[in-house]
Amino acid sequence: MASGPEIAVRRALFGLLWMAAWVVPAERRSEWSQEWRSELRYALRDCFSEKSPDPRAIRKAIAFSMGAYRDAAWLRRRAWQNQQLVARTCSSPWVCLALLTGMFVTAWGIAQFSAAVAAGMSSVKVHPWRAADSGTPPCDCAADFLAGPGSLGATRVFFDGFSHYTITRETVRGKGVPRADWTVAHAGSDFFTALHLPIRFVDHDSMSPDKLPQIVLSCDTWNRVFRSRRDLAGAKLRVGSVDGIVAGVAFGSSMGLPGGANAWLLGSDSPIGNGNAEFVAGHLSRAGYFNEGRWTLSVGGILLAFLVLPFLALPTMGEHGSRSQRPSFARRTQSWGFLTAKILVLTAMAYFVSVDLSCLVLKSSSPFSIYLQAGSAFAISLCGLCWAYRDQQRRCPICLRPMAHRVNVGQPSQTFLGWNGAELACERGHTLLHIPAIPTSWFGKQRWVYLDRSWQFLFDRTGGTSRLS
Amino acid sequence: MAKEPRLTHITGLILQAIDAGFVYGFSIMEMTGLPSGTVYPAMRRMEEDLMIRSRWERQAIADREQRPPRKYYQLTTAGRAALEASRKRYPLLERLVPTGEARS
Repeated sequence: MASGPEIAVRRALFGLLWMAAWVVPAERRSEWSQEWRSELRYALRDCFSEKSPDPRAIRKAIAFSMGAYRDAAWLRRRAWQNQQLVARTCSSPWVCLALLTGMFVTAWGIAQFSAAVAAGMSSVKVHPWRAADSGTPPCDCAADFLAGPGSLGATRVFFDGFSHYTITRETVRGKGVPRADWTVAHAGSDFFTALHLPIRFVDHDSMSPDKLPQIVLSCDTWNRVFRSRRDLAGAKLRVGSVDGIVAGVAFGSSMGLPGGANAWLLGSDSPIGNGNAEFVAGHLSRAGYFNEGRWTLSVGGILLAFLVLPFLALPTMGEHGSRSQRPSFARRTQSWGFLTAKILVLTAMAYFVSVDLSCLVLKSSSPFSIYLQAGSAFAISLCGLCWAYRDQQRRCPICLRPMAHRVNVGQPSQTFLGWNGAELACERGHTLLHIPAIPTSWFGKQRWVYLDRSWQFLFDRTGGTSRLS
Repeated sequence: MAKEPRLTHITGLILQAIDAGFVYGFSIMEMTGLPSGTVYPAMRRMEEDLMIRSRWERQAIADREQRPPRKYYQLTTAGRAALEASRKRYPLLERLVPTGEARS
């Protein structure tokens, strides 16, 4: 009859095995568990042999069970190696570039659409504006409308344009337009431009500054009063005591601007005061990180990585057996083009990832945020550049696919090493790559050997694999 | 260009232990003194390299002896050749793990 401590130790050790089993690939898990559970019984044999626990034997049993994790991890690694998912996926240069581009687009998308990033990369601080005496509702401003619900007082946001408008009630009349009282917003002539608001059916003639003030109708008024006439641009209307020309119809974001204007009178003298509601509108730039100074941190980190790179990875693509064996100009251009494309995408990705990290991991007000941005830009671009070069060095210059079938070659007596180099072959039979273990008088750097067609029989891919594998 | 199996000291030790009659994981571990986290992955690698092969003991035998079935390992032809190479490379191997004949 097992004692309480014995049961506890048994359960704990079998629990350890049960947890380790989850690391093992599913197809081998059952047999793996069966073997380890069977063997654990031998490890437990001496733990409670004389009705009292033997601490030394228990420690040994625990060490035995912990070894299961190494075994499980080995099997998992082996499964990954066998699958060679990443290697196979990245073997095609186009797929490799597509993957990198996908990663770049993800980083760019986060930077582009994250409010935290836009706020973090800006340096302009804006507080909610309140009209003190006019009774206007607090923070009823375009900025808040565009930014969505959020506390502008607590967040630094970037504006790339401001404008001001005043709401009045005016009598509007014109040819074919029934006399009516409209809510009119008086604004500067650059109102729609400054706020990046779109206008439909623009009459470009009326946009000339020496013409009459322009009238931009709200979409609702255009539908209701003018029955969605598309030839309306250029028509004259009298708004109060001012003659104006219809320049177009506002739509999109301008529909939500406070004041509920039926039309916008641009370029007229706006009646300030008199109890009219006044609004200041600003356009929030989502791309604030381009316009502000913090982008230099990322660019500086990337440039520094380029400077450090020659000390870590020799930017050489290897020697060629003889000058006549050099690939054609077109092949070399293709190879360098691939490398350049990888570097461009990687550096762009490093830029946006550093921006994302600095704004999303830390608060933008944190002093460490700028260090994180510069440091991550440097580290990511340096790792990326090293990878790009090493990846290129191991790709066949003809088909740009990774070299395979690595074998160690050489005589131990020549260099006191087990071997003096390694050889890899292109799976499509274009080239051999010799990599010396140490630079010698006959091989300084890695060397490419180009195979002619007489070698093709070795690389016959019928049956899915070359005869080299 | 078939991949050459790695003939390390551990490989030689395990091959020698199996040849000496220690044919399941725990007994190999006890004989060689190597930790479980080394022995089992090494045996899996050797099995992949076709130096050893494994088989499960019949349930009836395990039931008779009132224990769970064991997974037994045995040398293949390639494993035997590798063991010979290991013995040349590591002459003390046979002294570390003597075979049944040597023990008797």
